[in-house]
Amino acid sequence: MKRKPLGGYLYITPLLIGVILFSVYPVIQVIWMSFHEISLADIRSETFIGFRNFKDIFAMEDPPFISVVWVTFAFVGGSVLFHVGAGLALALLLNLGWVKGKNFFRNLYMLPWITAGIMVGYTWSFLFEPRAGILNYLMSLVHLPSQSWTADPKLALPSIIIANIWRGVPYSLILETAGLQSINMELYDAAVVDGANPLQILTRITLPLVKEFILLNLILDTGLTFQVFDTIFAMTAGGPLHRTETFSIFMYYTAFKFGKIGMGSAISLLLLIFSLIIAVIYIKFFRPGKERYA
Amino acid sequence: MRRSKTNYISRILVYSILILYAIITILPLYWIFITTFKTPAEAMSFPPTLIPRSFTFNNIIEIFSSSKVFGFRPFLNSTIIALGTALIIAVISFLAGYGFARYKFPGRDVLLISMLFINLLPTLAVIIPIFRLFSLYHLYDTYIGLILLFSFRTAPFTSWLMKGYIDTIPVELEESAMIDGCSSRQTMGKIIAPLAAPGLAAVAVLGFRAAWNAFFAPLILTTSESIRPYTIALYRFVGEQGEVEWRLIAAAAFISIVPVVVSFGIFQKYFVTGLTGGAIKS
Amino acid sequence: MKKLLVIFFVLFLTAGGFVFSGGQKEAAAEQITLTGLVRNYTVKQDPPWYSAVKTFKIKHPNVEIKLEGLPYNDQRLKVLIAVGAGKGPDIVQVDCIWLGEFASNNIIINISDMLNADPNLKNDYIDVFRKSAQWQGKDYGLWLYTDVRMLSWHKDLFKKAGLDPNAAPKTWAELRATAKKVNWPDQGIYGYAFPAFSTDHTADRWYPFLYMGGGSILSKDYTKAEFNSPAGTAALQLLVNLMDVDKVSPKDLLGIQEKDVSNGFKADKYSMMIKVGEFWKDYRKKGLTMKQYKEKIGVAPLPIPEGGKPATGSGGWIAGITRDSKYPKLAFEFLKTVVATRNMADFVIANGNIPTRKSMLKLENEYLASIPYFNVAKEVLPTTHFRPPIPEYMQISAQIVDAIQKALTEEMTPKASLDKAAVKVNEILAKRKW
Repeated sequence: MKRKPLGGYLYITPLLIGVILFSVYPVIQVIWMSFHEISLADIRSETFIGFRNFKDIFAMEDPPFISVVWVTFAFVGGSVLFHVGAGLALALLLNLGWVKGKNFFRNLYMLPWITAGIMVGYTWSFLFEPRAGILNYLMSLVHLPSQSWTADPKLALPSIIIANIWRGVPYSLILETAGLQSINMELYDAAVVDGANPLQILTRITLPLVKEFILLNLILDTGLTFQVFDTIFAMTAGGPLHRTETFSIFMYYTAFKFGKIGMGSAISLLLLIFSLIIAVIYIKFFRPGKERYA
Repeated sequence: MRRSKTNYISRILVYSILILYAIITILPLYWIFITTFKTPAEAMSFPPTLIPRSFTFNNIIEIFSSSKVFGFRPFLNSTIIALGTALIIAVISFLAGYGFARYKFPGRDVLLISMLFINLLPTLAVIIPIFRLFSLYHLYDTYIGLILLFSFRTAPFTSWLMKGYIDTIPVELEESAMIDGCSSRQTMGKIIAPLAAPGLAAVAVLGFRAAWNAFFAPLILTTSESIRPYTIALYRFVGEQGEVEWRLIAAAAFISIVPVVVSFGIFQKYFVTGLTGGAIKS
Repeated sequence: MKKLLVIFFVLFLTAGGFVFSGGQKEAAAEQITLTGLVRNYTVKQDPPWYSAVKTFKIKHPNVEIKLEGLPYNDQRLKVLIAVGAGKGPDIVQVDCIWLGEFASNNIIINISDMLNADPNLKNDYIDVFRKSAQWQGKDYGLWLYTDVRMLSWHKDLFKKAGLDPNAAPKTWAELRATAKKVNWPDQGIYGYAFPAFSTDHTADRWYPFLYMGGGSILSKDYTKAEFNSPAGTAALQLLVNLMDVDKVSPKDLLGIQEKDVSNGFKADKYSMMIKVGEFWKDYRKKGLTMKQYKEKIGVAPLPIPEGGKPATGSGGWIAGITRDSKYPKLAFEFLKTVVATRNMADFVIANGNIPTRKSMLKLENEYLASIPYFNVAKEVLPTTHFRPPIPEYMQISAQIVDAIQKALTEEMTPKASLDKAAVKVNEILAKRKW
């Protein structure tokens, strides 16, 4: 078919303009701003200060930068592990031929994902509420000691991770379901004919074939979890003692509570670099090469 | 197909896992649901009642009566923003998806990969320059500012999805139309668009969900009651109230979940195919 | 191709057409419009703003006044953004702890000349209040209303423990002893509550105990940390004793927002609490009369340490004029109408706040008749203190909150955690630009 190749540019122009305005330009700005001192109360003027914002971030003690990094990675790691694990497990179970009510289960499982993050935060703080919450009540029924959950420096991080796991599993479930459905059924039938047991089918056929989906899932979900702000903000707002202060909360406080827009940009840039590393891993492993996407 | 060998025990096991996870999923939402319809006295009672003894619509009515809580306006704002986003996303992603799928132009593959990178770039990380941009160019605290932001932050991903979706539509259909004298743009509108409807629906629902549930961007980019979405209104309500009334928070949460559930319900059969079928086809 | 481009433009324009922007409208030819960004609850009633608008319009019929009410956090952000973009309103309501940030960045303007021209008003302000609306010796705003921190308690719970329901603990030792008696953890009732979440409330409710031993947050010129004095250590030790030794304050206070602590108090979960006094408003809303309230809730000055002196802390709101105002004189004129004795008194009564001027305090009988804790507030008002009105205050407060939380979780001793915070605060102050 003959098409003027340049016609393609016309169709992608709106997207490109938007991407330049809302992604490319802001990234350049973030880089530029992170080397300046800009205060929220005087947003039009900036002073060049070299790497001082970064030095200040690394030298910070409350919270120590390393704690923000640890909290972020624990939050992301814990969430993603369970998202992908549970998502894959449920997708596998729902892919079994004899299971009835597949659509019922799939639609039901979707509910947490379509609920706003802030609502998830409130819902779970309601469940975790130390004295009127249902969780402590249920624990008291089985004679377990009640906990202060989000108020306990040790339990706060697990608490927000639990809430976020609950919210994110459906996303993995969709991706993994799509992956499983892309497998040709004849492969299974052939395996059954060859006398393979279910475990062998899983490890020899299913998992290798959905490997790319798992990888895609891991990377997309990591990117999304890095950005979670609302759920944490509603549940703990970063406390107690910064034990739940992720990059997102840290950046928000620095820029908009303490009014240090320049330093906030520097934190954003660090977050960007983390995201870039993930994107590179993504491209490297996932390899959206020409043969697949052309 | 010989799948009947599966024994009883594994069936019971599988169903119990599915049901257990269904309970885990539903319990917090069930809690929201019953609290929405509890009377104030029962909502406050301890130990909490798992099977409500009372039933009332008053909490929902209170949310919508602006003198008491925050009224209808924040939901209207969210609706305008979410529908605007869904519309713009659908148009942009369709055009870009079509361009990427049907034209081979220099730099196309680089651009496609860039879209993946940009999709992974957190909105959170670029919010400060966007905040400055908005406050200097009068997009701060406007619908259009939020709509454009949500649209263009989601469009790289959705364009990519649309490209994958349009790839699954045979080129031959267009070619035959062209032989019949249709122009390339006519075939796009008359042949491709209807066939790509499930993909478009999925993309629009994604955009709707992103805008409807957004919290961080509107937290920073809006202040007026006439603009701010319900997520912020609820956050403010919780923060400003002398006392946290869970029944009202639950009611607001319940109201907010309904539109997304309905839109997912309507588009559900397109959704999984539209969302993933195009993205990664084997 | 052109057609396609046109379609894009039309699409963008129609999307834009939905938008009714929140911006201000231009004034009509002869008409002058003054705009104001104020707190949301102040525009839900007549005084102080709308009642003043009515009075002001009699003298200035050509002046239109438009007010927008905002929640606490939005108030600061929107003022900073609007003024930063050169679109600021004429009048803004400023939390007294934002004063330094707003004044040093010229968000609000110096009104010394206008205030000096009106000695009656100038001299009417109680000295500590006028000072706390000043930045580097210049006046930047007019005080609107204030509040003071006091001790509130449930009389029923005191009775339940066999205590005199009208006798409040007067010393720290008595506070600890009383709290132990009104403490029933197995029933979910704790003796004493104070905010310990990661917000300024935590620091704010600790300062009074610091002041009592002669301590202060910063040096007089606001250039050095002083909160790690022996007075500070003792004040923090008190909180640690209550939470970790006596266990009359539950540990989960660390995760509960101030408003939820107040809710807990109202739900009879805490017997005593440090509070600014606005419980009254909530109970009144529920239909409680003043007499019933007084029978239910006791209010007293905060307990003091052995050999200490009574002290408390105040917050509150100041009205300022932004640098974007085209009519600063007129705006000042309007603000004078707002703070006029009668007008402000009506607001204070409606809202349960505390006045800041001598002429207003003369209307004592009216407040006593309508604010159940006014006698106590009046007693403690002369001993009140303010947080430093400097641009760095929010950062300093964050350090102090950290120190308090570290001591409460027993990660560090009160002394060590305050000393560490003091080092940090001194670093922050060393970078100041004023």
